[in-house]
Amino acid sequence: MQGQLSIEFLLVIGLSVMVLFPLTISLSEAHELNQAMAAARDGALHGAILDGLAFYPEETFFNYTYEHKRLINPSNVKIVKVDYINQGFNRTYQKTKIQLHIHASAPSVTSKADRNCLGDRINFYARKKICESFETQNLTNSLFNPAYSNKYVFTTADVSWE
Amino acid sequence: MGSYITTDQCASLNLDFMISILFLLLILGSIASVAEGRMKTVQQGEEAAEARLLSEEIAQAIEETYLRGEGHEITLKTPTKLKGSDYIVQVNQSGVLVRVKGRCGYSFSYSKQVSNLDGTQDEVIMLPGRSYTLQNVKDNNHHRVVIF
Repeated sequence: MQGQLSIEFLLVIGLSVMVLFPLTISLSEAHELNQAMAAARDGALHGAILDGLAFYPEETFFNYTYEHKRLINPSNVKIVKVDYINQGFNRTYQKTKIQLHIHASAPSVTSKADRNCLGDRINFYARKKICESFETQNLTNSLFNPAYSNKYVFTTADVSWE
Repeated sequence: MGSYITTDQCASLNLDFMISILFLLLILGSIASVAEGRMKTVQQGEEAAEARLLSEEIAQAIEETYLRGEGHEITLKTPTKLKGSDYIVQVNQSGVLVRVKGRCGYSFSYSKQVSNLDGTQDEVIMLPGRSYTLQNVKDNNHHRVVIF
């Protein structure tokens, strides 16, 4: 009769370890993706604010005064949705590749070329914030493309305008 | 429940407690990280919004001075900093440009002559923390806005 409780205890502990170990791994991956998506939303919002207020880096501003005059005036830019597509494990990067897809709205900007400029800024800040969030700025290029986290690599599709 | 945790000698509840605390810390950590990012974004957005407001305010004052006719005068005081950053304002006949930390914001103004007091410069630089007077001056049947 001696030792029965110990075996039950060991079984419970063993099962707990078997369940908790994969659960911890999957939770940590989900947490990382969650953190990256939060950073991407934050960055997209920042890009949309700068687009909306027409407040740009000097070089970009002077380019726009010649090529995209509409963009040097404020406009109403909103982020509608940020989602992603998991493109599976990428052998080149040795990480899981995630493509971000940002949906935005800018009813006062109708030109496709102008919208591309606005979208590029939104995507740039989304990638930048991911890099800042995981402190991986030194692993990527000046456009933060692609953006890296520990287990994922992030790229951005063209912004969808609604 | 709290008294069970403190008096329990078998540690079974303590394990639950530790797991709960672990999850709680994970969730709080995520929330803190997201909140910090958002705060940073808001601060940067606020700086851009203040620059935009300043340029619009100056552009509006120029329009008003010009429209109200000869002798109309408006006094403007520029803020010492924009959210703690130095800035510079350039005004010419096409509009108002605010530069902060390598970024620019521009407010359009209908074409009109803008100059300094003695009329020698077509572009006027406005510096932080100073008081400026905008005055409508008429010479040779042409109105111009003088900033001094």
